[in-house]
Amino acid sequence: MTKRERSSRPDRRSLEWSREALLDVLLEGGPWPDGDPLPDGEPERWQPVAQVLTALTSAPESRELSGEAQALAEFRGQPHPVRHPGPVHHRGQGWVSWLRGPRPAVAAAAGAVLVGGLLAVAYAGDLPAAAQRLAHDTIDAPPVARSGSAAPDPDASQLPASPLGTAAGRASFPPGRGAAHPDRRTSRGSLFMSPHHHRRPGSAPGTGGGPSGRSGGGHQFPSGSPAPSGLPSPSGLPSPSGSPSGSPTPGASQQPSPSASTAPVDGATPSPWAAPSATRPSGHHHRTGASGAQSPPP
Amino acid sequence: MVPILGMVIGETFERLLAAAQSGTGEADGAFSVLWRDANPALLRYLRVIAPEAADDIAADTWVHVIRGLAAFRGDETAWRAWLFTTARRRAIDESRRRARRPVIPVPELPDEAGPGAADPADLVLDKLSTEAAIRIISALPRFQAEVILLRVVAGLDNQAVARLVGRSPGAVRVAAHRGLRRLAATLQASGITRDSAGKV
Repeated sequence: MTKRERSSRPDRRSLEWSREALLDVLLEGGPWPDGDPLPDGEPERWQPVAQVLTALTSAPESRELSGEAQALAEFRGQPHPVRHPGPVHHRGQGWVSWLRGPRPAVAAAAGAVLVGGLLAVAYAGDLPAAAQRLAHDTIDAPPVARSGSAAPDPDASQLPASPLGTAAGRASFPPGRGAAHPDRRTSRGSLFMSPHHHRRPGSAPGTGGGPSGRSGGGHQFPSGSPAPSGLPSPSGLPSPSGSPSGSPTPGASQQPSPSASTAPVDGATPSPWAAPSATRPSGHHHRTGASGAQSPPP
Repeated sequence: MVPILGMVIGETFERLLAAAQSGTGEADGAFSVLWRDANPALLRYLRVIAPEAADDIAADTWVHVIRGLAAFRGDETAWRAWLFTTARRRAIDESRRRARRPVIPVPELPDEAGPGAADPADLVLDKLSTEAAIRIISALPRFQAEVILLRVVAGLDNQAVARLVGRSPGAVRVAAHRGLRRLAATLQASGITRDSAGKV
């Protein structure tokens, strides 16, 4: 780089800077400042450009204002957020505007009253039986209240469908099996209070704890045949001798009550809910009975 | 050199806008002032970027602006930016619509048919009317012409134009300068010098 080139570079840069500034001034419409270091003829070179730009911003022509009446009509006919300045509610935000109004508070209050009322009814035990059971299972509401042990439960009609709800079902169930299971507490624990189901010392669980001393396999009867009288039923009730198969038995007509879970397991007083507890349909019982049916008789 | 931005309302803009938004008896007059100030610039801008439908797009732009006028908050620069942004979007929509449904071309008229075919020398010598200036600007590349118009006609600064067109301020400045240089070269090549322009 020669000395001459080095000395000429700042001038060139300064000139370019001045040109850029000139163009900015042109765009902004301002007057070109006096004394700016532009070479002779440079501002004059841009004069036609300035003329063109000035012409772009000249006074409006008549045809450029011809649409005023139409625009004013549109303005007047606007139905009119313009006429009511204030908070603007934009379209397409329905749920947002809904949330801002008083309706959410009303809806929340109504919902709270509804839920509270349902909870109150549930804890008072006044719900229908199915709903009350659901409430008991979910929110620990009191169980289904009963007016008496003999009162038929509306849901008891479903029980005869269970093999345990029939005499045949009970008869095919090996006495002592499951009923005498030591872990069967709570609802099934009341079985221990049945005088027929006191397990004898030395008798293996599930092998028949009945007074007859027979094993479970010996108490199998064909379905539909009445259970022999005197044989202990797994429900802990006397077997409904002669009752037809498929008809609801007194024991089956009573629902297993969750209240049995609070009954003393080893208490001497039999719980009125003991029998239905024992007849509670259970897959486990059913499977046990089925396995017993497959076992060969002794 | 004459200041170019002569159509800016200035200090009275805030009062005019409030009156137009108020819905009182002054609303029509205030809106009329706003419209008369902005519509010529809007039309000139649209005649460059969408010459085939400038009037329709301008009318559509005003319909949109009237609907949103009550919600508008801002100064005059924001007002013009909103107006030209709306117009630009409408122009883009219109160009897309025309692209989907192309119009069958008709034989062009020899003169006064569009802004693109004119001898700059003739136009400058034609007392530099607004129409002639629009034709000269329309000969520039599209983006350069648009940037120059937004700077000069709309009165927006570099930052506002950059936001409007979605480019950086540096890119907008470079495009504007290139457009002006090209414009100067065109005018110079056409024999339009200071002397000839000064005679106008």
